[in-house]
Amino acid sequence: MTALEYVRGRRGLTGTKEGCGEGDCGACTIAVGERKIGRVVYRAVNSCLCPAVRLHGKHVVTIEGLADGATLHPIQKAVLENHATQCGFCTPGVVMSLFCLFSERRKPTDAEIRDALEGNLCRCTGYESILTAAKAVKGPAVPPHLKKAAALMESLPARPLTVVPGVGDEPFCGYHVPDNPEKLFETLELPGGGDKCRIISGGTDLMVAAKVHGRPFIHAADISWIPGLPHIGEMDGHISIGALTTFAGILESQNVKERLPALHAAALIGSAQVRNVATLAGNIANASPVADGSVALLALGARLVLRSASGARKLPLDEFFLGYKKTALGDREIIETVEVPLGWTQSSFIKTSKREAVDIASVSSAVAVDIEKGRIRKARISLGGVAPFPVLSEKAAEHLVGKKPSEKAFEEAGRIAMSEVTPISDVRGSAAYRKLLVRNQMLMHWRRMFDETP
Amino acid sequence: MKRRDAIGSSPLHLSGELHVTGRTRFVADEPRPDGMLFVKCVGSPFAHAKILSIDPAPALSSEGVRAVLSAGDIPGENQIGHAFLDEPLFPVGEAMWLGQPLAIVVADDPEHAREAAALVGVECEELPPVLSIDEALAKGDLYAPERRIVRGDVDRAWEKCDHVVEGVVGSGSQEHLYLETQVCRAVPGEDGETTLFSATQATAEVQEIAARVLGVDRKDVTVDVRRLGGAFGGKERAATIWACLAALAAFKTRRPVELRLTRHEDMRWTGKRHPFESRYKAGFNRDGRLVAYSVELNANGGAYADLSMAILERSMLHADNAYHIPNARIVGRACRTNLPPNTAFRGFGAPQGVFVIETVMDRIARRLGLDPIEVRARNAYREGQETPYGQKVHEPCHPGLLACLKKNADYTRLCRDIGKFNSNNRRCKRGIGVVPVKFGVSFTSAFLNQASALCWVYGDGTVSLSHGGIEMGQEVNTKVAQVVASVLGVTLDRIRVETSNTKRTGNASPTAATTGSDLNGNAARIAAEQILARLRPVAAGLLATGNRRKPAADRIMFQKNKVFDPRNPRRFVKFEALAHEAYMRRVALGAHGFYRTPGVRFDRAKGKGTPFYYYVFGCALAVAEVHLLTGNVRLERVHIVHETGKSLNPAIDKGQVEGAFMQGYGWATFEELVHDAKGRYLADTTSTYKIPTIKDLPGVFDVDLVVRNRKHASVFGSKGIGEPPFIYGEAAYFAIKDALRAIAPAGAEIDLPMPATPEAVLEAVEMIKQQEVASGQWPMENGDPA
Repeated sequence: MTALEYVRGRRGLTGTKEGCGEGDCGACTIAVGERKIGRVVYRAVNSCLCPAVRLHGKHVVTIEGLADGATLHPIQKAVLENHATQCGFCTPGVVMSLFCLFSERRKPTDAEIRDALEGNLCRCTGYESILTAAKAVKGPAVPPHLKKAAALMESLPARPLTVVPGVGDEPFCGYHVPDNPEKLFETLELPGGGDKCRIISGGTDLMVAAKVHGRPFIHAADISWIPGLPHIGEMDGHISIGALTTFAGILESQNVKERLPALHAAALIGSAQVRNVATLAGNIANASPVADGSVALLALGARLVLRSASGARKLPLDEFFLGYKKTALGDREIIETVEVPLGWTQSSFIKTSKREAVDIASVSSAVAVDIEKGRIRKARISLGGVAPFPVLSEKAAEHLVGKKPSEKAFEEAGRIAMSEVTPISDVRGSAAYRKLLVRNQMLMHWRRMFDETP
Repeated sequence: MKRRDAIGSSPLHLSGELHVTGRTRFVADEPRPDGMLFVKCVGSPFAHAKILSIDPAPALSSEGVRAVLSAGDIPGENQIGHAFLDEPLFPVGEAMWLGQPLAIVVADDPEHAREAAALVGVECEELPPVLSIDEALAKGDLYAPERRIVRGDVDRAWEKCDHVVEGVVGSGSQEHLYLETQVCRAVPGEDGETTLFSATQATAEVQEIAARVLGVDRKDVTVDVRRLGGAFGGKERAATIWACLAALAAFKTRRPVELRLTRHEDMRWTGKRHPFESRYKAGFNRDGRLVAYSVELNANGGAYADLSMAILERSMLHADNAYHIPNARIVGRACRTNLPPNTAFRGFGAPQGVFVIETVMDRIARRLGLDPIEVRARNAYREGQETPYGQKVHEPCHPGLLACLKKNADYTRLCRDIGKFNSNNRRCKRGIGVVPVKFGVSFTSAFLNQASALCWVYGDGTVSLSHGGIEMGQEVNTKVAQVVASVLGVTLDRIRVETSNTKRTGNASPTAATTGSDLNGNAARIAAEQILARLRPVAAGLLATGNRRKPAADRIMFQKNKVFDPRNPRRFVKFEALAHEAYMRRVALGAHGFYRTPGVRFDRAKGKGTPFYYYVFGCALAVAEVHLLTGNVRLERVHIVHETGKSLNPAIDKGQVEGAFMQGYGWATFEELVHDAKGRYLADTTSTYKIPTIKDLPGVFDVDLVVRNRKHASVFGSKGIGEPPFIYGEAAYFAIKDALRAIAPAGAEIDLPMPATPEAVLEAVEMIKQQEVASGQWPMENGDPA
């Protein structure tokens, strides 16, 4: 059962709407509050993709909970008074996204408002009135009645049941919540009726596959309650990113922002609602040919730490992808950590998609270079959307080695990369268009990394 | 909290507080009645198929299944067509589009219905589909013989023109993407009655057709609509099939049922905006004035007639857009293809017709090296000039509106700044696009221009108001309530706008064609005025008590819930006291108002008439920035000057203009619907079909509502607003084209398809580069079609 089915069906809270059922419209946005270092952090979540069990122990705020009796929440008041609602179907989601934004930022900038709302589609207003309303919000984001409710979190048991029966609750038969590694690996042994037991964390890919594309899974093991799974940190010349690290978590890392700009740029994936739950490890494991995270990590020369019941092994990401949606990950193995070497002088990630926000790339690419005495000593170039899985363009990278980082060198690298790929045509672009993008993105990488002129 | 009520002020959305608190109830939010069943459709596996057999048996034995229904189970007629009786509820023999319902499964929960739907044995033989306009034209498969509108003689005019341009212009399809998917709840009542809670823009049509399918009378079917979660035309005709399927399921099982499409189903199975392919030839003089214009508008109608002929007609009636054309020949054809039946979408063909002549205007300006605004102003209608179909244009105001637009945009400086930007930037170029709009308001089928309203004043002075309009976010309820509030002199909080229900407002026309507040506002005004007239004598009596001078009944003022003699405003009666007194005196406090738009008629055979009650005028300017390495586009600024008449509610009108512009922008740029050779839409989810987000908002979005027309407007001098501003989105397309000129030789024609997706833009960039390399110059005469 999804969180959306839970709040609407079981609790009768129909303010939360289903607009698309695949995390693209934000009409089902709810706020999920967690206690973090003495305060409650609220994150916007697409409830249509969120397994209901993940709400356990959290302070869930739906649109019905924002007003204090007859007193509207300041965001509700602003939306109402600025005529920022027309048909009203997207409005609860918009308000909840703004609630999460304002709970963290008292006076958000224009850009922060747009970031927070990029995952909320509105077909009526054209957004201008919504932006105006967001700028007009006056008053505390978390009023006393919500603070009081949040305090109740303390008295809840830390963990939910370990198996959540879900008969008739598509798309699950068994949704398992192992709370230690042993149980996890036991769960992964469960027969899946021809399908392996799926490992779920953010669920933004798995749930879409199950719900929209008719590929339900028989068993899933939710790894969120396993203690000791590492988060993000620096050690021995690399940044180590744990299985549970979300894209929002990566964006918050100053270290990543300053030293791995390619990864930072790739972490701008999806919408706020997606980044809040989707993990980098999941992005890799899903093995999409155009996964933003994988493409960036490939150029950065990342290594994976894979763990199974029998121990851990390290594998360069270069050797992880085997074919379309096929990887070297064993059936009973998880991606425990992603290790990203530091020490690149510069790196950059670029994606081109039809729409600027919340869209899957037609083509993406990343470049990482190490520069010594003004010349490129080492370079790696990765490409997404041009092959069944993210690939390296070794010849193009080779061309850069030994050269000064000039427009000409990157232009030529672009030509080489373009000649190396044989993309297919599909809904996200023709083969010819993709080849052009491969070439042009190399120029854009040069501009982003080295060029200051307009 | 602000509560303003008067006409011309902007009170808050009547349902606004419900919307922001999540208390709003859409169809699927209403509590589920006990024992409700759920419907799932079994669709045709091919775009064109011979149906060999349908075997319900495996599905019937599946868990929770109550019924599997197909054509043989229809008690009435298997026919859901309206203007054309060509569409079966379930096809017999041949299926005409991919996903067309062949059967439905009715089960006790949605999951059981979904599982069982997959078990229905459907045996079909695939037949070759016809998908494109060209294929349909080659086969001569049209919904009706081609239509013509002719003025003057184009054939003799060409030689008198200084210049002639020709070309072919296409425009793309568009998914409505209303946030609430198609839905209907059907509830059986006693004595063969059925009530449909349908998300439809057309209560009467759903009632009529559901009754036909069920084999009952219209009195036996009630359609009730509280509000829609967006529609944009996509629930005008296209809601009917789902409502009828739900009605059938309820009728057969005697249980309440719900049919709600998932987003994926909705995107695959519902009709969309008509793509057009148009051929044009235009002759003009040295000064840029059009002398002759010939255009063939070809629409892809999809698998059934639906509203295609009406949409085609509106595209023909807007082929002139804002321009006077001495010699015009407008030909229209609607093609039958194997796509889901294309249907109404904001603008209803007008944007497609306008796009062609705006392409011509763009070419005239480039050919002659004239300012694009100047060319448009020179060609704009002047008072009393006639359209190609013979309607005189009254109070046209484009030269003035365009001047206002130039002032608002600081045009001269803007052009200079863009020139500077373009010479300083290698990778990004900016351009300007301008599109004026003249939009005719009325249904072109004259009989539809009627509406009714039912108004009750209760004994406590509060008001129940029913009208035939459908609330779908455009706030027709707020506007109509404002009209009644203003007539009765009560505040809006005294009025409850009821659901739109066939029992209270029968025979209602669809809420469409930008007529919602005109028609229903007038009907409600007439109803309220009748009650007011009956209240006046009672008021005179009350105000006379203890006063020597009894006030003249027709002089009494009704304002802010108070009733008073203007000669002595300090002495007043509360409206509620008046209502109570009227009740006690046995005065009729309910009234039915009926309105029909005067003077509209159109002779289709001759292509002549006065189809529109009035025109809406306005213009838009967009500045787009094109990234030459990716083809991505960003809107820098948008300026719109829109003539509203005396707006009933400027805040609503501004919201309509903004929302429509962004929809039109999406249509003209990155909303792309392509299908494969089997008729399957490739972008059939929200992850592949992209509508604008908040990040696509222009940096400056300036909407200036102005009043120029005093005589030619509707209720209390106001005008309809819904559709015309959609067309402003085309300005973005022309801005992109203009930006590309920055890299092309002067005077060059730019080949840019519509929608101008990033891929299309990048392709155009490459083409310009290659042509430059190949020839060193650009062909100047009769260049590539746009």
